[in-house]
Amino acid sequence: MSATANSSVDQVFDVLALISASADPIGVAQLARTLDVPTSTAHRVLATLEEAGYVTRDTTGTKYQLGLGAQELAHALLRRFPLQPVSQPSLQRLAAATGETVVLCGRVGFYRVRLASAEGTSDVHAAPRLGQTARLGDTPGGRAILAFDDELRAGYLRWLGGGRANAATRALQKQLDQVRKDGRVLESYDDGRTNLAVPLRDPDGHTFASIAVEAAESSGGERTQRARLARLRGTVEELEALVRERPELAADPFAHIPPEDLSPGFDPIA
Amino acid sequence: MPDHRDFGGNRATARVLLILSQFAGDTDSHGVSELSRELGMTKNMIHRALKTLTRYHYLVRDESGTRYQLGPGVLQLGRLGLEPLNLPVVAAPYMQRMQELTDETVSLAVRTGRTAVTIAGLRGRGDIARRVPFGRYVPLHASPASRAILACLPDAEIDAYLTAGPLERYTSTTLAEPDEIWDEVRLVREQGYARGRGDHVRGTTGAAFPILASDGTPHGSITIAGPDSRLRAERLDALLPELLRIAAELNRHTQLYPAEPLAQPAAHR
Repeated sequence: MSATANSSVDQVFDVLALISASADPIGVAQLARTLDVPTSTAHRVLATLEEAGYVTRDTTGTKYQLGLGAQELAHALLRRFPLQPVSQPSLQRLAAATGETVVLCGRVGFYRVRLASAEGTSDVHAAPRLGQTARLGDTPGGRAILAFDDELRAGYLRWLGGGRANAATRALQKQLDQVRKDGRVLESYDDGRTNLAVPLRDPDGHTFASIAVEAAESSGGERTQRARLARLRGTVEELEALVRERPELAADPFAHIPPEDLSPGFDPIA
Repeated sequence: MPDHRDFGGNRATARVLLILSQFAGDTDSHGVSELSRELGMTKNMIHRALKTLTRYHYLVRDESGTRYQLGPGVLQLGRLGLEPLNLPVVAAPYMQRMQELTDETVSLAVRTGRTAVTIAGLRGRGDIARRVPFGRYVPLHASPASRAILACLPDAEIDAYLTAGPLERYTSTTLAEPDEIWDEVRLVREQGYARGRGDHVRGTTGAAFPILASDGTPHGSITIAGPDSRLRAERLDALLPELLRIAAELNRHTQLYPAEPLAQPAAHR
């Protein structure tokens, strides 16, 4: 990653991408090294970003982290999904009833995005982050969206395999068939976490989102999972009733753009 | 200041960032003419900036094909995801600014059931200062910190609070009649802050500012308070405009987040 022939706008977005991808605040020298630009350039770019509110200094005053202005943009995109702001009470009730973290997943192109969440009320609970994205096939919340929509599913498999079927697309196809039969996705992980996801449908039966219960521990056996699923379905009914009353709540803000045209937006910039 | 060559590039870049920021509001899409008018930039400048921003997928064209909306690229700005609100951490720099501005004690309170409790604070810097009332539970009508929270609850919840139990009077200035409290609620909503003079503990004067969630309900409140003798009405009046500005900035941050479910310890209902 070098700065050759980069305009100053490109430099700014490179720096912004680097800061947003970093778990810890970054200093000027490290930024300059990583991007292979002079320290003076890094200083100038950071000053521009800081002035515009996109980065801010940490408590030491010497390192930079993502600023409020940048976070506001990510939050603003999540709010473009009309169900996001109105779903919170339902998610919170489900989180209180199950003790586990509940997530509303939406779709942007071939990606699932965590649109809203309610933290589990148990002392130890899953802590997923809002706005996080993953390919639809890679997470339970995404597969719950993918499995019940034939057109989306076919498009995704074509995109994933680059137009051809391969081992990955065949494995996913099998998985999705099973999801369709079960009516839900249930995934367990080695560390004891489980993730239970079901689709949300609009009045035409079209899947536009999903709700996932991301549980921290396996304390629950099959009975817990059954109880959890029953409660989850209750929340789905609640939200689907809301959507029947106000169908615009299911609107997809990116419906006019083919999914494959949106996907490059998720590729790492830097 | 950077040299002239840099300065030109800098200005163009600042313009691009400013244009992108216009999309953080609740308006779904923006057109070229409209941006040009609002920002006082030529259409040509706007066109060039929009081209850059769409190249990075920060923006995409909307359904009409002529206007622009936020694109998936902005999710990269939270590539690690957005953390849930950690109120004491988010509020800390604003509390510090209020303390530096006033030299008085600043505290942060959240609601638990029928009370508000102080969870963080910074002591004032004078020879005498109000103590930070860590862990003190005060009924929702009985201090500025409490009333800043009360005033932002839905009317029905305020009614429920006022009718559910006796409203204790702590000092001669405690507001304890439902009618007086409703008047105060309307005043707080209008002014954006709650004021009090010795209404919970004698000798302390303070002003408290609501901290709101995305749905307009309160996360809590932030209060500056000090001794009556020093924090006289004129001094507080003079400080209020800047305090309101700081509180508004804090709210820009906290209003990104939904309200947390209420913790309601039985002992403090």
